[in-house]
Amino acid sequence: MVLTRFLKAVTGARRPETTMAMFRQAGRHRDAGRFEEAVALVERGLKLDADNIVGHLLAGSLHAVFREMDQAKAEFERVLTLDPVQPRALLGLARIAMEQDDNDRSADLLRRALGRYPDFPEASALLAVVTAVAPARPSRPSSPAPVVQPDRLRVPSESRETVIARTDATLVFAQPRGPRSGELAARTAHLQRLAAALVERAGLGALHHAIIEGAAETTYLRTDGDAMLSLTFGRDIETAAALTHLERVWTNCRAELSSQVA
Amino acid sequence: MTVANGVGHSTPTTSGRDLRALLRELIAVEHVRGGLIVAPDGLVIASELPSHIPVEALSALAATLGRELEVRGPRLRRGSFLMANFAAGDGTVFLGGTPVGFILLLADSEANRERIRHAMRGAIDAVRQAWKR
Repeated sequence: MVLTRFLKAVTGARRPETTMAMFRQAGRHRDAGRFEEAVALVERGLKLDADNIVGHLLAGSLHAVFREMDQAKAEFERVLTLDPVQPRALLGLARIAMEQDDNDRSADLLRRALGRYPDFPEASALLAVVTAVAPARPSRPSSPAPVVQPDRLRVPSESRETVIARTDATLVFAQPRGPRSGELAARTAHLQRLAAALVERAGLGALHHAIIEGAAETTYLRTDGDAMLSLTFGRDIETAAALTHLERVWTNCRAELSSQVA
Repeated sequence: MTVANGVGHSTPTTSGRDLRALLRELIAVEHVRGGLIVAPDGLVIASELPSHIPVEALSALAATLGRELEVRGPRLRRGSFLMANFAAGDGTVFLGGTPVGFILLLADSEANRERIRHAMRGAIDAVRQAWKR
């Protein structure tokens, strides 16, 4: 005992002595972004206490960090076998359900989490998004009658894909139009809802436009909360030029949509 | 260091393992009001946000939006998401993907987008280097 204290004093080593101490230390590592150290401690801890809720929650969280969503889901589900209304496990599963397009299940899980723990800002924020005009993703391509005149939009030739949709995911216009157009409108609408919620929570007001950069293409999105326009360009286009195109097509788009209403 | 076009070099001085220090460097960029680094499950790793911003709600939405962009688009192929910015009436949110989560920055409307993009890109590259698996 004296020797152990002496060695600790000399080496500065602080070795967790119980599984809960291990998990607390793992949580501190995770919170500080030292994920590999956290993983090692959680694995050790769960070998000693295989039914530990904290351990499985940490394991789920760490799998999510490395995008191992199937393993994360299994860990959160394991927690629910031990505590059916564990709020963090419900939140983790709700996120995964949302990623898998299962908004109804996501909403159900979030409501269960809020039922157990009403003061849960993360769950409240996600529930507001998932229940705000959340149409089912189309199982087959939608083919609404065209309501805008393509020549009046003056879509730039550089645009690889143009989509106009309502924020409820109703497809208005797509160029080129294909089997994916309806799905693309739904994805864009979901993205618009999340981004709008984010900027509002950040106290920045209503979403105006977005620029989304991928490895090969950049998508420019314009919205007024009712309709959305997205133009996708190659990475070589200048941002200022792309934004000029976006505003011009948006003005034409709004004029077309207004004339349809009138 | 600043180059002729006013855009700073994108190489951060901090290791990509030290996420908190990396965030502190990013929020020093002109017109950046604050930021956070959030894991894909919504856990806040580092936060330097103004006190009136609800950190938990923002981190939950940032992680969900980041994953949405990572997983499916629009038009993006899985894994091809680099970064995005979302402009609103009173400012802009920048969101970048890294191997261990997402970097979010809040900036003024008048912020130099290119300068912030370069700083963000440097931070993302640093994290990628540090977390090669």
